[in-house]
Amino acid sequence: MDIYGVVMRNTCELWPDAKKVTEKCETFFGTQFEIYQPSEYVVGTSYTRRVSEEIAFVLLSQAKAGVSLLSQDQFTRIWRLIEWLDYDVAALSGGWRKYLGLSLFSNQKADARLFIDASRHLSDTLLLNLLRGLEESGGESVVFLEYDILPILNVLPSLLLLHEHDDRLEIGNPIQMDCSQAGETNY
Amino acid sequence: MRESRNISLLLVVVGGYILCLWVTILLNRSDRQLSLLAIATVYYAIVALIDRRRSFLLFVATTTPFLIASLSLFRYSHISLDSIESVLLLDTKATRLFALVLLPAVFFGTGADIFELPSDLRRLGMGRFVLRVLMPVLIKREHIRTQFVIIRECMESRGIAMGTRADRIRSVLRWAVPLGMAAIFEGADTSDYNAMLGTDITCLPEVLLPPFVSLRQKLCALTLFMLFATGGYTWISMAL
Repeated sequence: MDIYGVVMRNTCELWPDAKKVTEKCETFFGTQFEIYQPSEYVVGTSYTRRVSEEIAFVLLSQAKAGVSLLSQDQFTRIWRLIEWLDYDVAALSGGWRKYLGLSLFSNQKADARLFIDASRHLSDTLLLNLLRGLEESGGESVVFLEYDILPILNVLPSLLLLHEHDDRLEIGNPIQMDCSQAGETNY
Repeated sequence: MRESRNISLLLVVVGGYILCLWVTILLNRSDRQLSLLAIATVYYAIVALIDRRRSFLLFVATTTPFLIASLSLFRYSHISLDSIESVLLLDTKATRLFALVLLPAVFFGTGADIFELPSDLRRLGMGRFVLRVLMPVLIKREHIRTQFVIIRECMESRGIAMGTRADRIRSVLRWAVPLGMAAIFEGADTSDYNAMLGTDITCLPEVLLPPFVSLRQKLCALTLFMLFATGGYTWISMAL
């Protein structure tokens, strides 16, 4: 599976929807993406209290729809969530909540996944866990549209970079990582 | 595992209705007020045993004077006892009263455990339709509670005291607006989030862990019970 990061010209386009750049991605890859986009105010599905119940609920739903990739045991092992099963979803920190959502989203069968603003709020460890989990989830390609692509580059130096132009995306050279400029690549 | 709170509440509601039927029968006897008070006292005691909540005990303590006052009203006002009987029996008015006042007041106003509801509905043999209809409505209360906790934490981290009820009342103008905004937008965003994850409400798992009932819920219960106790009697009087 190939993991790409888009170096955007204007990250303001990521909010409220990243329609333009999403279309460019779909044109570049010639496929439809399953799109992850974080939502404000959302704690979880809100139908369950604990992480274990949340996972069971979503995985059962996905299995019913025939799109689930992993069983509950496999899921908690691969996504390294075993220690967190008894926690209340509402009591998790923002980063962990987001990671849980990302992992549940990634459990759906898809050839290509597009993650919009996925890395923000995630620690390096969680980012690494996310990338490992994605490797296990299969699919052909994963694309990250981020406000700042540098944190992903830090944990995955082999990240393939796509540079955004007016009408298209283009595979580009690895960007010069100049950490003296606040470490942000997209601004 | 602790016994189900929702089932206890159901017992309370059903028990209340049975009590009403008994009252209807006993009203035809000579010692009406004493019979009514005796039954109500026994019923409250049983419910207090079932419910085991301080808020309910407080409810009993505060509503008993209203009950006695209501009984006095029955004695001296123009209200006919025959018409009470017609309300208590299942004619259209009584059904409406039961559906609009008693059930919502009991269900929303007490510590009903919404997360435990799917398990309880299955225990009662109720199926997916009830889940589909009830859960999205009931879960809204939990949405608001969760958002309030988040707002409270944000405010406390910025030095605004929210630890006690008095603090919350003092700072109501600060948290009410963001809470309102969050309550409005959170529903729509959660719906999008659930669609993104592919959730299906009929797949809610059975809850095996004991439920948690917060003090805020109990206070809410007390308030709504009080409203029901005072407003309900007035409404019955007006309806008659």
